[in-house]
Amino acid sequence: MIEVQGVTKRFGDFTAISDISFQVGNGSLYGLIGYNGAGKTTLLKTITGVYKAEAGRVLLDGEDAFDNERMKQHMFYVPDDIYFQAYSNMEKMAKFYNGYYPDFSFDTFHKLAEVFGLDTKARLNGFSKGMQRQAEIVLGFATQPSFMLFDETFDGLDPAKRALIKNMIHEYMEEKNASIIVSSHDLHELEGLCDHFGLINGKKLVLDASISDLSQNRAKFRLVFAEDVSEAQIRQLGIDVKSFKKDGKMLVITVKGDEAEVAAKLQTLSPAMVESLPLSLEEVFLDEMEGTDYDFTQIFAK
Amino acid sequence: MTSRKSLQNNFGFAYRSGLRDNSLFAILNTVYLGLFFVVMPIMTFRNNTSTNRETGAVSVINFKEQFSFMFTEGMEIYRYFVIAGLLGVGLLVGITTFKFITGKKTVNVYYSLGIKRQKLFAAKYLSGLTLIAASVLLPMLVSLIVNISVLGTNKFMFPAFAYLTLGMFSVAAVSYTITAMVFTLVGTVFEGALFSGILILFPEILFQSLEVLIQKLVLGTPLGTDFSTSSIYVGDTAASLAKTFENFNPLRYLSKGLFTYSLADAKGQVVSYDNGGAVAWSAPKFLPVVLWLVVAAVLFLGGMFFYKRRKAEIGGFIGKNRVMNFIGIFLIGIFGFVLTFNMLHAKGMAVAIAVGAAVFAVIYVGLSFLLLRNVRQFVKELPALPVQLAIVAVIFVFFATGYFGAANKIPETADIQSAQITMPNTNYTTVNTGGGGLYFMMGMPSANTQPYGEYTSEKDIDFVRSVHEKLVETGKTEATKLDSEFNGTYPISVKIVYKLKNGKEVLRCYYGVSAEILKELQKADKTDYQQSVYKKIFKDEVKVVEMPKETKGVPTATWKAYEEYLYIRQVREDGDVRLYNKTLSTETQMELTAEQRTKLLDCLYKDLSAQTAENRYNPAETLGVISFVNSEIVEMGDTQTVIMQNGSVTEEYADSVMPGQEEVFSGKSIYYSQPDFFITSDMTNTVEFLKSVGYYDAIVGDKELKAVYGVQVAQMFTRSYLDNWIYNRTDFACEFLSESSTGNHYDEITAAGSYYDESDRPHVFNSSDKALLEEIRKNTVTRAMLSPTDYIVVFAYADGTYVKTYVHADKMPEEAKAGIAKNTPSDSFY
Repeated sequence: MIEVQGVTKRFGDFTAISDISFQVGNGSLYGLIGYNGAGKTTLLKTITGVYKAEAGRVLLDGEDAFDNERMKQHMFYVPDDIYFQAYSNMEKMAKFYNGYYPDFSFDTFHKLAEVFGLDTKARLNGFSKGMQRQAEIVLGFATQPSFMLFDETFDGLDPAKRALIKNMIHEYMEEKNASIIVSSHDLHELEGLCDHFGLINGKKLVLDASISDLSQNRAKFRLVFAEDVSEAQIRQLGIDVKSFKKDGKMLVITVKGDEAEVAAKLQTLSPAMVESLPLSLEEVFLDEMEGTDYDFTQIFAK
Repeated sequence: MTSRKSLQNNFGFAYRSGLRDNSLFAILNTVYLGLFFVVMPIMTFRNNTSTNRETGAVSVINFKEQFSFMFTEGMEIYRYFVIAGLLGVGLLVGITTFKFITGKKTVNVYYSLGIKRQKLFAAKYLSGLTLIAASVLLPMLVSLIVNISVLGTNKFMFPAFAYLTLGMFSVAAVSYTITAMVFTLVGTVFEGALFSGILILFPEILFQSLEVLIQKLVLGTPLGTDFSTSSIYVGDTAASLAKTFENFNPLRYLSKGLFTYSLADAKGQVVSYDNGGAVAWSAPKFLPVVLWLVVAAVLFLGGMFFYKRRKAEIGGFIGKNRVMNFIGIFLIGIFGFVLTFNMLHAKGMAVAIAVGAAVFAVIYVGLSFLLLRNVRQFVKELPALPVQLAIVAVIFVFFATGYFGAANKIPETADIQSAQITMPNTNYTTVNTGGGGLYFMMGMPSANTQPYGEYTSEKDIDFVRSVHEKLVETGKTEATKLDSEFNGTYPISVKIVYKLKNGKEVLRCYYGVSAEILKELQKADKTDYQQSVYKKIFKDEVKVVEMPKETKGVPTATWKAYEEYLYIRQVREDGDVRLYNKTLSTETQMELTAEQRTKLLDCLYKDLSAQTAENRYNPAETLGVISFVNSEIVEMGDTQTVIMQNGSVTEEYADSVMPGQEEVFSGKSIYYSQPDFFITSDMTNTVEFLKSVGYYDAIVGDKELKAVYGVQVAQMFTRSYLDNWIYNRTDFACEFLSESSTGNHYDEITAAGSYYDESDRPHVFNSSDKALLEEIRKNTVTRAMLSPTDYIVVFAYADGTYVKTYVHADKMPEEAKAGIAKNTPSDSFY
């Protein structure tokens, strides 16, 4: 488990993140969302021990993480800005990590390299940015860590590779019961992957919830009425309408409340059709952050 | 849930990867040192045959008869290259090993790895240190093997090997460790290299800068001045901060040892750093080496401390360490200030300070921008500039006030055991010392300005103190420069040495003195010491002193005692007694009985011990000179074994181990002079004696004069009568307290003697007019304290000889004055 407790990180007079607390349990995938410059990378680097927090602490399975040799041998960080030794290839980097990670598996390394179609003997500086990222991910998995952190990992990857990696992360998490944090500025990237989310805004973690918590007590319906029905009419039924979209006779509404109860109430209006729709993460966030001045266009831009 | 398995040998892995990844410069260093310590001895030992010139027979050289060991040679010069290489390899290995600390990307990896920061630092550090050690040890081991295979083993070889190896390793290790520590403090490789270089050079920069300031500002400082009368084989003898504190300087602490222990002869004798001669073996001094290794260890611990606390976020960003910025900029700034001040000092103190401060500010601004690269940050740091200038100002004031007056403090008489002061010599100019020697004026070492005597009585010590007081009262002066009009300050040094009762020594040197000071010095004649000298020469029982059998390692006092004995013996017993007239053109040998000789000596003693300073140094009338001439060649010393640069051994006369040119009694070099005593009209006893034995006429006559040449003393300062022979020019510029020279001495006027022919001579006054010649001759003085308006004349005699002598301005005929005024300088160079 990764526990972040009241972590604050400053750079001189500038506070990058302030009093951030959250947990990532075993077998959990935590999505860390925030716009560029929000503090995601700072937070990840603080967790991995690259930065030392000015306040608060990070625990890995209950142990203080900073400069903790034993615990960090089971943690791998895939940064946004990837580093490889000069003139190295994947084999050389594998040996490098093998020297510091007790669980490094060359078998896993070679198999994953094959899956990604990467030549382990070719110079890494000859790889494209996307290939370098894949190489780093392969190396990371080869260390078989219990804690993994990915920072903007999907940047530069084609859709096929993204899907592959997402799959891999998910399977790894389940198989190893690992605690994994994935950061991104793009919510859509993490949709369907993470079971927990955290949103950093204004140096703080403004949202920290599981997907089930977010989805709970929310519903989305598509309705068709013979006659026009207004939002007010629906509200009169005691339904907390969060969004109301009309397209001719068809209505799409999102509501807060128990789905079955709301459906029953809607039936009293005698709709020609009532269909329950899945809520997107975007809609959940929009709802959750209603009333804030958060500029969602930055994170929701496709 | 984490695996319980943990890696125990990540330290070993980090160490091994450090060895693998950073070996390039270590390999280069191995090759570099191999050139000195492997190639050189192999080349020497390969040259193992000798051919007899006469018979043509070839024989094999037995190097065991020449060397105990020969690890390298030529260290008079090569040691600088070796040390530079060692410091360089330390810096470069440090950079390659620790540059990962400063990388924005590398820190993401290394700081997230499962290894403690201090462990990682230690592993990396030790890997670099191992590489450095190997790069030193390998060539030295090969050199040792070569030596053993040719020379066998002996008790000198291994200590020398150990010293050189450990010493060279320590120099590189210090440089490396400084670099490692600096990298833990800075954000970029550029800063790491820059600040490491500055810190490695810091002692040298500091001492050189302080020395310049002290020499320029502190009245009476002995720095930069030679108080020794011996030449040193390698390097100069002048006192310097850098040399005094050489053991505190990574550039210097191994320098002498590298020279001394590079080779030894068959008896284990090494080459003396001081005189180039062979001296008996003494064990190398490992203490400075060990202490510097301790320093390296402390710096390593410091590096670990800082690395653990290092903020990774400064990686890749320049100028983040304010302390290093401050120190680095300040050191470079003050160096720039000092250089500027030194260059412009002659133009005036205010100008030098102002421009120096401006240079400092420019350096500050330039380096700040280079390091900060941000206008706002630069403005924020700007208050450091006045702070730094204030520090420079404090240092400056400290030296300008002579350490707040401490430099002008004169020890109390009661605290002084003995004192020495520059002799009131008759001639401060060139003195040949038999080997090229010590000659230079303008504040540089001159044998004739060295402290003289051993004033121990209260009266004598007070004499020295009184001159010292006058020097302090006068303050800083600007001595007349070559090629400038005489400004009233003579370009000579007066040196003072106090040996205190508490064992300490106080040295002072004052460059640029007035005529008044020189006249004060002349009062040394009346000191108890000088009176004892006369007594020693003329009256005391002669104690026979045997010539030292050894020429090596003989104490200076022993040689001096022998030289004194020779001098006295020459006067009392076996020197030919010769008389010269006042122009030194005639020479008459006196034949005296033993009784007559005793009488002469008694008269000389009475006259000289009673003579006033005025009559001695600036007599109204000189009658002639009486000399006690050594007509036999005196064996000055045995030969000594010298190990040449190519390793061969030869025998040389032991001039260089002589205790220098101690001015025994008369201020002249014993090597080239004999006891001369100027006869002046006040020396009534001596004059009467000469008359009584019928030799007085010998000093009043003269040979037939052919011509006279003349220059005014002032002309020698600014106008180039001897453009091509600058040393002689400086001689004449100092012909203010001069005595005539005997012999065929015509260089002064005729410009470098034989290098000129008649057609090339500059216009110099000359006359053959008999009446004028006689008038001038009548007014010459053999010894005089000359002023710039006085005259130097050279008489050319009909028999082809020449003599240089002097005429005071008020005695020079007007016709000659007018002619001399028209002298024109030479334009030609030979």
